[in-house]
Amino acid sequence: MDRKSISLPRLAVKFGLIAGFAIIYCAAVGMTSRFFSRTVINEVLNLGDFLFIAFCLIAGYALGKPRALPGDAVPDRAQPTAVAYGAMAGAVAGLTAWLFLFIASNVELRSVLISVTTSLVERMSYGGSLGSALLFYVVGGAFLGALGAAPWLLEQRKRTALVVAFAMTVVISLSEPLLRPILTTVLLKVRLTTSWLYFGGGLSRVGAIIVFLASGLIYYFWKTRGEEVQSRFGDMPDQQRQIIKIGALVLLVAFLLYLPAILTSFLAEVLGTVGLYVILGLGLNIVIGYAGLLDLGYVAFLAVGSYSTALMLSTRHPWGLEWSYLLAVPITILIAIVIGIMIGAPVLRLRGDYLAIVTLGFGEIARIVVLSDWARPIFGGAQGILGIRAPELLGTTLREPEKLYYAIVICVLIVAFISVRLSKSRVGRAWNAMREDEQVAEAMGISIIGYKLLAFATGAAIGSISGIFFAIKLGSVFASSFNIIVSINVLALIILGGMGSIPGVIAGAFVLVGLPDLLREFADFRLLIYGAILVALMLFKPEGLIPSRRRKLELEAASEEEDTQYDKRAGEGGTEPVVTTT
Amino acid sequence: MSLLEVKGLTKRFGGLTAVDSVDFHVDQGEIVGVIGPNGAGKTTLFNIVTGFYDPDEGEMRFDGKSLVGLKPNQVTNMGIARTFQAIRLFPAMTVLENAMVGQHCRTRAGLIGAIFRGPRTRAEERKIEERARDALGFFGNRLLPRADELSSSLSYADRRRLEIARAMATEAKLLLLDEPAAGMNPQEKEGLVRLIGRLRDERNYAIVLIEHDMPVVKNVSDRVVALDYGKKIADGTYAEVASNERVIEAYLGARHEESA
Repeated sequence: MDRKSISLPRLAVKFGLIAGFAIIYCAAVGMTSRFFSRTVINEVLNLGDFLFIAFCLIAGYALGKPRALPGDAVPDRAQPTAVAYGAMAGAVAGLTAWLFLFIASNVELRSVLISVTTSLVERMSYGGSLGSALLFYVVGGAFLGALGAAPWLLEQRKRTALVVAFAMTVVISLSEPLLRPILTTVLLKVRLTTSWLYFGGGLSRVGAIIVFLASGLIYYFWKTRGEEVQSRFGDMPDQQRQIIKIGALVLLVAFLLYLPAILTSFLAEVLGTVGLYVILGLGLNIVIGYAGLLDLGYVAFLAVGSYSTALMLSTRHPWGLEWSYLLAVPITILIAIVIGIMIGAPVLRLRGDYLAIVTLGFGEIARIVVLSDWARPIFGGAQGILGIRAPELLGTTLREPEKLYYAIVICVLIVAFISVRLSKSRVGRAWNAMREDEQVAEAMGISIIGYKLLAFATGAAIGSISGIFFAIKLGSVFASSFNIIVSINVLALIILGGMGSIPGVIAGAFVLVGLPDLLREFADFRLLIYGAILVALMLFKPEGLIPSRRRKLELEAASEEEDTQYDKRAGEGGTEPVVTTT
Repeated sequence: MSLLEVKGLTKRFGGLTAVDSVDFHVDQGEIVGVIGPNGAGKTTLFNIVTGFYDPDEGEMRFDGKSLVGLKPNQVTNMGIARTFQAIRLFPAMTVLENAMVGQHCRTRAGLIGAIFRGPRTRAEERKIEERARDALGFFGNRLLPRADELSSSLSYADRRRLEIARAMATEAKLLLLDEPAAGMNPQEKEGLVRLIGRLRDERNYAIVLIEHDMPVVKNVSDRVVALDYGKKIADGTYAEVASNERVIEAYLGARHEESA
């Protein structure tokens, strides 16, 4: 077999072009100009400039990664020449970005790309002429590319510490709207301010240095000492380990319940929304992650929950039921279960993509029925149902975000508990078996019909709980809230977090639901960033942010298999692969 | 009375009669080999007995109760378990979990039990694990030490073993093994023959196996049934069937067949 060598110059051009086009793309859609007004580090760096810096760094870093031909061992560190190639990649990226500037200032692009304004071009040329901008971009790009590749010269622990420090600085700076109010309240109690850390919408200069050093050092020492701690934890007797785990859980719960005391009501609302999506995610995770039924119409159950609650509690609905929540909640869940089974029954014979399409249809049907003139006397058409009374509990009304937050956190904990219990049970095993191979599961005595319906019903019940909160939170329901995009969001957060993993669902909800609400600058580009994150994640971390142990093993096994197959094709050693016939 | 009694079993796929009025029985503690050229209807026969296909005609009785019209999971409940020609484990589940799934039909715990995990559920869960480990333990140290690894990480022969363990965990009385020796080397085949003997002697299973490997069939079967074009053409001891003219014709005759 022809053994191709790796051409680093070619890779440098390739990565440089990719980074360059990414920079151009961000500028062309208007992200860059919007981001100029967002501070990353006070008076040093804004988010718009940071885009250019980040892409050049990433191109350099990607190039610096040591490579080897298949079969050879991949070296841990890069050769010093890698830095030169990193510089080359950065220079190509800079040149590409400059070419865009050149075109934009000579050709009228605004008729097509409305965001490419003269002020953007001026801003991106940094006040100089095109000629000086060329120099600036190519030299700057080269410098950044080299900087990006340089960490590969270090040993792995130091390198990762640098990357972590960089990432943490960016994350902490961008979470300013979230962290600053919290820190302010907390630090006020010990008579401190946050001005040393945050200044004007981003990190202060000192703050940036502190965060960078602190996170890098913490990571470095955790890596050096962490294994020891972990192995000591592993050596502990089961009972002791159990106690530590429970203790950690109690601390987490206490923190979650204490949180509203230090949150602004805006933050409590954002966290409440995240909580609702966590509930939805956990519910859908049972249907998709456990039972393997690709349901794209999950929003229907959110709608069922909201509308049932609304019907039973609205003070302005013609039915005027105005029941108690004590009655309304169980009835809502019951209705959701019945509808879950009704939707599940006709699709019992469908699998995979077919199931996805049909459930997608069901989701839309739910929305259209609610919107229809025919159902207007009940669901109120586009006007929705208004005047949903908030529940009264322990003498207070659950409507303010802070109070509702408590109720949502408790529900999230209950649903998470149910999820954990189910995953390690006879029912969970039956679902998993069904997901893996329906026919064999049936041959092992599992009633496919029963367990599919059970999965749909459980998912529906959990989804409807989220719907109840949704109705309480808004005090009204409108059909437009139950768009297909909700189903897609929930699915995306499951995939992002790691299919089948409960911490993954929570992390996914934070990233996909919480962050866009907090980072107002991103709001318009939410879907764009969604897409980019998902694609990147599927490429580099297909098991998700916090994968379940099982899924991790599975992917490791799969990649090992690929490797051995490759070895076999190379025809060196290795036994004959066993051929099985179906 | 026979454990499994099949009479006049017929299955047609369009114009093709895959299984053509086959009579067939398995007694308690008996090992029956089913042989026949490719496409003779052996696997179809298994699929009918285990409820994957409904027969067009005929009667099947297991322990005196009719199997006709039952779903696969109901057939398993009655005490018939099978393995598959192409190994079909649950790849993303551990070895132990694969075997534990086999216990599904012998246990009860539902959603509520799973959530509250009361004493009864916990006892049942312990029983499931115990029995699954017992089934794995039948294969000596092949499966048990790897109980917590993913089943997809097992070697080919161990996957075959796990398929049998999973079937054993259903607490069946009759095991249907579809080409258990496929893809095994001679030593592994010898081990398989011993194993199947032990399944009967130590665990009292009745076994039906489809097999192309004649030495395996010869060494393990009390009785051999030969199929060709969906019809039963011979039934008797290995010696009788091997010397049967129709069998020889089916294997060596007009059609070119794999060497036995």
